[in-house]
Amino acid sequence: MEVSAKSIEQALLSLPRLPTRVSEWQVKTGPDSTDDPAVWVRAVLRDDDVDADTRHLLRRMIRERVREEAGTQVLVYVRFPTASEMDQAM
Amino acid sequence: MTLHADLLKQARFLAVKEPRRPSQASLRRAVSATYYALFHLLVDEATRLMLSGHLRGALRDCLARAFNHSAMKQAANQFAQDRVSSKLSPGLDGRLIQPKLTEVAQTFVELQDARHQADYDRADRFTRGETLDLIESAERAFRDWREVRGTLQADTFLTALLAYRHMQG
Repeated sequence: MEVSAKSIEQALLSLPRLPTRVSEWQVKTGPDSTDDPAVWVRAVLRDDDVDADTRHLLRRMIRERVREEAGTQVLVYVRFPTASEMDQAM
Repeated sequence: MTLHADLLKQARFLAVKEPRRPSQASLRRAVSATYYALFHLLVDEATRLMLSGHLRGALRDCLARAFNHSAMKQAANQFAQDRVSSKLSPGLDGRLIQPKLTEVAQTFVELQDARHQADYDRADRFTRGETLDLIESAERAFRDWREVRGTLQADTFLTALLAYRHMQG
């Protein structure tokens, strides 16, 4: 994949009007388990109680933005840990 | 209760069973069960489409063993990206793929990757929030599927899951 994780992260940081607050973006690129070009995005949610519809909307926004940046063939895998979970893990 | 409904219920049970610090084993098994819930829902629907009736129950179980994960992903990804191969497009008879079917296909692709991470990537760590989010995505896919099942596009999708890789030219 020609696009770097850093440039995808920059693209995500520039997303306007997110439906919920994201405190951190973690982006990884590479081939997935079937060797398709893939981007893994972890959007760390600032709030613990973001409802399923909001996460669904955010997931779609992330997918679309990543494909604009990295190409429509890329597979986008999104996960939503919360900031408090990430703090506990450290 | 069907196997797919039971697996989804089991996934939620595993994701919340430890009130304070969920073990990676529980979360990983929950993610895996979530993928297999959607996998078995689609396999069940596909085999019932192809072989109907009580008499053919055992034959459906035989056919269910012909589904291959990576081939299913390859087919599902076409529907997820709304770019169906010319091998399959005649089956759609000019109809557009419904957004809910696109979501089902997308969720299948995402859950298959999550299952792979959960089962094989020891460096990865799942949180309870991530796991519950994946379970809710599968629950949404179950609801979306109920709205599109029986349509020509859904039947084309089910056919592709089993047969796309074997279609000639």
